[in-house]
Amino acid sequence: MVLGETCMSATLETIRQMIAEEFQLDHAIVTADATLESLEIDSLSAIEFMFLLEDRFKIDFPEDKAKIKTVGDIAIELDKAIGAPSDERKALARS
Amino acid sequence: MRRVVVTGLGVLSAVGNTPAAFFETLVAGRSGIRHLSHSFPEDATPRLAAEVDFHPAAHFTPMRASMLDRTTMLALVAARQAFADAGIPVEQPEHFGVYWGTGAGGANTTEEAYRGLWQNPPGRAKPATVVMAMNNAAASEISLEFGLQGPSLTYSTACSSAAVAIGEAFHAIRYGHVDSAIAGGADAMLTLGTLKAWRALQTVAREDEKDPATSCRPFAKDRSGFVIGEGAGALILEEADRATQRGATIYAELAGYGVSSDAQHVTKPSAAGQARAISNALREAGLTSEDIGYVNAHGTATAVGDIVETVALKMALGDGARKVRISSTKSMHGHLMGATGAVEFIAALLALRHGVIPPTAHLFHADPECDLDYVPNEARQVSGIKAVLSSSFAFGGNNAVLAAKAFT
Repeated sequence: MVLGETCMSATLETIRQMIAEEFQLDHAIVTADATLESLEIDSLSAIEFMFLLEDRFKIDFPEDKAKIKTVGDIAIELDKAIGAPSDERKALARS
Repeated sequence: MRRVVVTGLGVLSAVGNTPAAFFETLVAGRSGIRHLSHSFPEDATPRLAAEVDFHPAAHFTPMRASMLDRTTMLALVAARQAFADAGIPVEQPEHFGVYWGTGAGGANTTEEAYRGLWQNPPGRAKPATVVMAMNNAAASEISLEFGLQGPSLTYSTACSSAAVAIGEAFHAIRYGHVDSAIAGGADAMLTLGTLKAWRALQTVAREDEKDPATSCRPFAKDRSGFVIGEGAGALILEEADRATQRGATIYAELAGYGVSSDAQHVTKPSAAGQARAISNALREAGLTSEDIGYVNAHGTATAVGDIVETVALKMALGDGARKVRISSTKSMHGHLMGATGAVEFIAALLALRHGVIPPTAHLFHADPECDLDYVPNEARQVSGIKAVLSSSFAFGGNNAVLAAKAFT
């Protein structure tokens, strides 16, 4: 549980920094509870951001992932995905 | 019938990223043509191009830039310039339209998506690919950014796209469909696939190895075609009374628009078709050939095209064709494809305003079959220009000509 929380907080901080940088927002307002809507990140931008995460972390988010509303939700999805081997990793494992 | 005036300009081009810088460079006769700043992994051959010095990070957040094609970014930045120049408030957004031209739309996005899919099967495309690549992306983003709720229309008539867009916006204001409009065009297609396709068509200039910048030579005996460029041109058009009432700076009155189709051949131009477009523009503007002080020609520097255009000018202007100054600024800014009609009309408007005709650069060897005054190599000061024309003739046989006169 403690380990999980540590991972979560490291991931959350990564996500906060990436959102602040990519959308040029003040890091202080990109909190775990902040909704994407309140940060004026629309649904298409959110999808593009998840795509960026897939590229950067070499992961695949599942098609049926939970609805993402907050910054914290993204961190949770990223932690889940990092725990699961991506298609790319599977391919590497086979080769 | 309502009168229409131009009150704001925006330009991004290989010869300048503001209207003032663009016109100064043209008047100085300096070419923006050089080798492309990047090569392609698949084919490292250096390629001539007229590339815009453009840095998305100066204008957009990283995430926004990743969701806009280069064409749309160029369009938006030119539109911002035009709005700032006009100082026009959007008070009745439903009466403010967007009339935009593009040849290839989001060409970079399309090519990148295909590259990703073919090179890394099974592959995947960016989620925003569709909305980045669609031909109406630029018009849509302009309407979104400025909150313009009138028509948001895209014209794709190859090399006359922007001229058609400006002409249609002019008519929309003239006939009372809207009161104000942003009109123009953008294209950015310096991709491997597009460059190869144009080369295959054998319309692209042979490189002058000693001085690549001089490779495009319209109306010259040693001409060999155009150089593909990129960029955007934007104009704010307004109903004249409103512009006067709000104290706007008026560049000129957009007074005539002629459009025609050759119905002859997909690439071979027709002098009769071009002449009809020129005559139609003059007629609508209430101008005669004697009134025209300058024509910014289509002048693509192809073997056939420049002769046909010369014949068309003689057909439409009669004896006046011998007196009028004509230049092809494509010799310097390249062929901006769907944007070219906008930046060349802006060059003509600034010539009218400043009384200076930008030259046809690199015209060192005259062609007896191109026997009009093409203002070779040196800009010319001319007092008392009353009116100007800008011609755009497209593959597919579409011809569009814009006529502007000093506003009085």
